[in-house]
Amino acid sequence: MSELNHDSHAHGINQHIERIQDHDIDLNQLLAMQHFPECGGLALFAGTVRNHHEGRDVASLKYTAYKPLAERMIREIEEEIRLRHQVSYVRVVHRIGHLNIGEVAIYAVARADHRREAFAACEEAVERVKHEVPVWKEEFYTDGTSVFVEGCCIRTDFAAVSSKKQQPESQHQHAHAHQHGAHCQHDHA
Amino acid sequence: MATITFEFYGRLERLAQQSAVSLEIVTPSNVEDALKLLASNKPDLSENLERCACAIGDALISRSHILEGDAILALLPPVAGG
Repeated sequence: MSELNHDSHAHGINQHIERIQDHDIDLNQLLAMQHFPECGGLALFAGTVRNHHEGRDVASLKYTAYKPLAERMIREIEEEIRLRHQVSYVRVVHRIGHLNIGEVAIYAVARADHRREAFAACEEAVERVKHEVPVWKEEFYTDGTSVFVEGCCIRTDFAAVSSKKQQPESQHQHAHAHQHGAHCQHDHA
Repeated sequence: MATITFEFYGRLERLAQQSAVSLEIVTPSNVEDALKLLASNKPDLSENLERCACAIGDALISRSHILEGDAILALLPPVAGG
């Protein structure tokens, strides 16, 4: 398809949608099925609340966010991925608030001429939002306790600081499946 | 002097047992200076501050960013969305 079609459509469709929402996400609106007739591939990821984590029984989750930055970053990530994969449309919406088992925490949608680009764009969008955007997850367990899930440090100047301090290897023990300029200490499930 | 309001997010809010605190700081100071002041006032937070990103409004800022006057500084601990 032509680059004109990519650019003329992608910027405006559903740009007004809040990327951080405290209510159920309207999936039909997000899919934008009435647009992008040139697309033959639609990839959708829905992240749902599961009832276990690292051997513990999870009762519910609570997501919080720093909205001013999160909204901007998700939009930037969408646009970077759209251009990089040359796809027509990428949108990600993340829920905040208290979510029960089975509820949707995140939707990512990518639409492209063909499936491969749609899959790739959708996966990258989810990975980047999970690891770069200021959203936090608190797990509430069936035993009445709760824990904030360990995450990725998004300090852009942290790598230089930590390398100067020669942080022990044991604190940096996993392969990075994502790309960012910082540092994190958790498992990438 | 300027008033820096530190906003706490994620686990930091729980550790601080409040969502924000305001402190007076000499100007000009940079973000690093402001965080040292915060650590001296809230020792329970000190070991978590190094891995926090800082933001003003919708922009991430570095430790060397100069604070010229009153500011709201969002402290963002490691993130875990999805």
